[in-house]
Amino acid sequence: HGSVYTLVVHGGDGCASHAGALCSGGDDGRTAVWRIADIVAAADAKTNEKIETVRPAHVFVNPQQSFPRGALGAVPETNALGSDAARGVLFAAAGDGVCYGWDVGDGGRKAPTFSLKGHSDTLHCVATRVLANQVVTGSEDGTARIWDARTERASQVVNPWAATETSASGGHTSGSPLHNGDSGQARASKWVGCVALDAAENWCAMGCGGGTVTMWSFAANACASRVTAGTGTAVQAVRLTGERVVAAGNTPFLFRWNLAGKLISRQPCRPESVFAIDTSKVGAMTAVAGACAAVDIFSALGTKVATARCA
Amino acid sequence: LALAEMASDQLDELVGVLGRMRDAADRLASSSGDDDAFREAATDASLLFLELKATNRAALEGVEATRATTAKAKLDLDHKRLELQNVLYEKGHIQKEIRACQDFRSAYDDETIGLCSVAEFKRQAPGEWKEAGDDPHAVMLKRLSHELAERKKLCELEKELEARKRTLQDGIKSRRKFLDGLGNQLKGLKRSTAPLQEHLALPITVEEKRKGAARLLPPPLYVTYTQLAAAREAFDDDFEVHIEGSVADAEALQRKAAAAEEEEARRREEGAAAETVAEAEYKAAGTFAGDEEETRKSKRARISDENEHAVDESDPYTAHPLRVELRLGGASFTFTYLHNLHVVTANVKPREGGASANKGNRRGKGGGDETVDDDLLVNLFPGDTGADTPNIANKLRVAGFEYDRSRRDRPYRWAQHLAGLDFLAPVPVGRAPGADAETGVAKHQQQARVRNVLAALRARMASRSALKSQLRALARCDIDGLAVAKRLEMHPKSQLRSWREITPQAGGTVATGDDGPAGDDAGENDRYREETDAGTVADRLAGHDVQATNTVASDWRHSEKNFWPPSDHGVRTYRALVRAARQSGSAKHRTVPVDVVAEVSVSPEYPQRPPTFALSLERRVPPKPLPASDLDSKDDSVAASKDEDATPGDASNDLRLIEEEVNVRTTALLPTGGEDDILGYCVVRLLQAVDACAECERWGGASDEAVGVRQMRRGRERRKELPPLL
Repeated sequence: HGSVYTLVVHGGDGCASHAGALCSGGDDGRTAVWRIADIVAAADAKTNEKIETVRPAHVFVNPQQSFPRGALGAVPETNALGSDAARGVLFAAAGDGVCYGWDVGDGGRKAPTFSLKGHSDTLHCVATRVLANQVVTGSEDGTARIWDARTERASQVVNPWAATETSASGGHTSGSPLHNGDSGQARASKWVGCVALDAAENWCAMGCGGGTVTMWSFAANACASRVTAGTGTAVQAVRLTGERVVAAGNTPFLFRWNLAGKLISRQPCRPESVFAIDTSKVGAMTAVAGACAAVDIFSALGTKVATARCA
Repeated sequence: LALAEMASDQLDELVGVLGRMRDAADRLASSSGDDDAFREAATDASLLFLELKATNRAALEGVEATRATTAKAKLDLDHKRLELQNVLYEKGHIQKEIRACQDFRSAYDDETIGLCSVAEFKRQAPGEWKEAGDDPHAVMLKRLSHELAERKKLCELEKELEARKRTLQDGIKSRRKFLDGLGNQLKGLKRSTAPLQEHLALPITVEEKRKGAARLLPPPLYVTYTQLAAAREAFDDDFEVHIEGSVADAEALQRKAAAAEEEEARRREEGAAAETVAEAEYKAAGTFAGDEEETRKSKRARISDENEHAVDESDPYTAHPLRVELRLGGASFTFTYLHNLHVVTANVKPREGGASANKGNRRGKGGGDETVDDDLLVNLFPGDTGADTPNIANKLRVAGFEYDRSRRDRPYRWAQHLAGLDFLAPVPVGRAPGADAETGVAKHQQQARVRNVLAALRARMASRSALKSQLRALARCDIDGLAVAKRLEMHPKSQLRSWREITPQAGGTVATGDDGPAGDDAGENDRYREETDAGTVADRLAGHDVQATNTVASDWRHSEKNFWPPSDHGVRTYRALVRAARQSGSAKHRTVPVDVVAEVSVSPEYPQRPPTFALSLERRVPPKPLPASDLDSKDDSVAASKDEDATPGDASNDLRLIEEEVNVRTTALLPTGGEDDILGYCVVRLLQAVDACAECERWGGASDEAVGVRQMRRGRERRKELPPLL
């Protein structure tokens, strides 16, 4: 029910194999896991007149906040999903500021396997660093946090807007209340709209509402550089492709920088507000989608090749 | 036989004598030396001569006797033959007479005489029947005499009846004379009551005059008039129906039409005569003269055609001099009939001296010039723009005929229906209208059209009046002046700074607004025009072209699903400037007020088609496209200082959310009965939404301060929760 905000492929080496699962999350706070095999079968069985319906294999519901006298809060929406195929865990960045981890293999669970608590406001994005068992989340509170998925604790709290980082290993526990000591400092910042890792999982790009993208180096454990998309662009989607940073936000432009932070290109695109960017592994084509019934496709060089319209 | 025997006997005798004579001769010859014998033989021979003489005499006598007998018999035969001839002649004559009798035909055959049947005769005159016996002839004679008697009786009866008829006719004549005189008397009576009528406000005389004028109306307008008048009589409704225009002209036209008809009839007769003559000629000539025939026929057709439309063929918009006027509230709707197009058009204008004339009306007070616009009637019923003639025949008659859209009178479909003109929709070639089409037409004809139309007109006028009052309040930027303001618990903090109309001039509207999608695109273009990046605009326009062709197709699809396109004119656009209220705590941003510009399109179908809002941020300083070198050298401070400005890019998510809220959801939130005030609701909702966005944080920035545990933002587009409308 409601908008679908995120769609990821979990395991199975992408769509090529039918073994994987497609996971979707949206405004209703549910995370649905669909077997790709089911979807392909339905697509094969589809006739012109009738559209086959596919039922999800599992549905995980984000827990509601409880209040005194049994009152329940609103169902927090799932804004982003991150998949850790190696451990079989799906991370759901929820609207209540908690990142829930769901065991994909255990569909009957009512409660999440674990919760990463610490952000003081809505989570906007999540990325999984599978090799290091780490999770990066970005939040409305203006910080990005790097979590150790094993201990469910934040190892770093990054403010991408100021390009500063603080170690969270000190006083905070994973169960700390929403308004803790450093939230005042975080409040002054722009929200973190998107995070992305490169293929080798050595770099993390954090896009934030003020129109900047901050590059985080896991090797140095520090902010490496910060690029600006110009005023007025709240970065909502970012990708790292080799030596390029591709980002877009609520202006109809697609930005490209090199890792040194130099602007390579600024291309107009159809969506007025871009919510998703993806790049192909082969050919380095970039697809851009957003608040528009069309998907723009850009070449590796940054020129627009095609526009796919949703009829 | 006796004679024949006798003759043959005499012949035998003669033959015998001759034989004996030959013997005697032989003996004479042989007795040449013997004298005795010779003498004897000579004596015998002499005797034989005597005998021959006697026999010859007897034979001659016999012949004579035979001849006499024969002559006698011949005489007898002749006599007998004469008698036979007489008898034969007599027989032939008699037979001829018999045939003539048999072939006799009376001047009156039995059927025409109508003789009563045998059975009837038997029933009516049993005695005579018995007397007649079995002889059919006698029976017939009796029947005839019976018939004669009966007829005589009937003749007498007829005479009696004639006499009675005459007396009755005389009575009728005298009574009619009385009635004819009565009319004059009554007229005099009526004339004498005129002052009384005036005094009591009884419109009897006026009504009568109107009825006289109604007789001169062309049939469609007559239907319209009678239906409206009947509705008025039946429901005692608060509207008036009048007939406007020159009665004299109408009379002249009617006379002319009658004359033309007569002429036409005469011509047709002549034509028929000419045709027979031509046919006769054609037969006599015995040659094929098809071409000539055809030309003659076409000439005749042309002549008659010219005759019919000689006066007004040139102008398709020639109207009948009489019009039907419906006065409802503060407006008067005029129905006009166009001869040549055979359609009824309607237009609306403010009622002259409306207030004084309708003081007795219940709803008359709401009327006024300002509620009545040209576009009041547009899309009164879905899709009925009145932009083109509903009569397909017009298009066929004049190829590519288009109704002149600049005219104020428009041929709306409902006007045709009111006038009883039902034009069937064109059916694609090769598909005959099925039975369902016929039932559809039948059902269509049973609708309560007058009431529907009047209800629609009333609703449209009421909502238009509500719309106008809202627009007046908005033009004064007076939110409290809106009807909705009384129902608000908390007034929105954001201010409506200005509200002005930016509707393009009439010519422009017609040019750009041919159909709905084009109008939408124009709105989008406006939004794009604000972008200064030339590349972007070009790119958008390229995309827009593709989209335009797509929208034509999609428009067609929509119309299949009863989607009715917006009208081609009457959409008014307003530009509203809303200044967002700053939160009290955020003093440091007070220097930069945020102004939201809303372009509001109000369609003439309001409120069926709610107003649409297109939002953008007022841009004070046109931003320059950032040069690449600038980006290279930028640092935190540059970014931070730039960030102080709120720019449209920042707020596009928010603005789209507000648009969605105002354009889509507010319609669903309306309380019942609030449809007419939807513009007010939308504006209030816009202010509330702007409030909510301004409350949360700076535009496009992070939250100014923590607002408790409540989640302020939701979803990828960082949606803000809005307070309830009322």
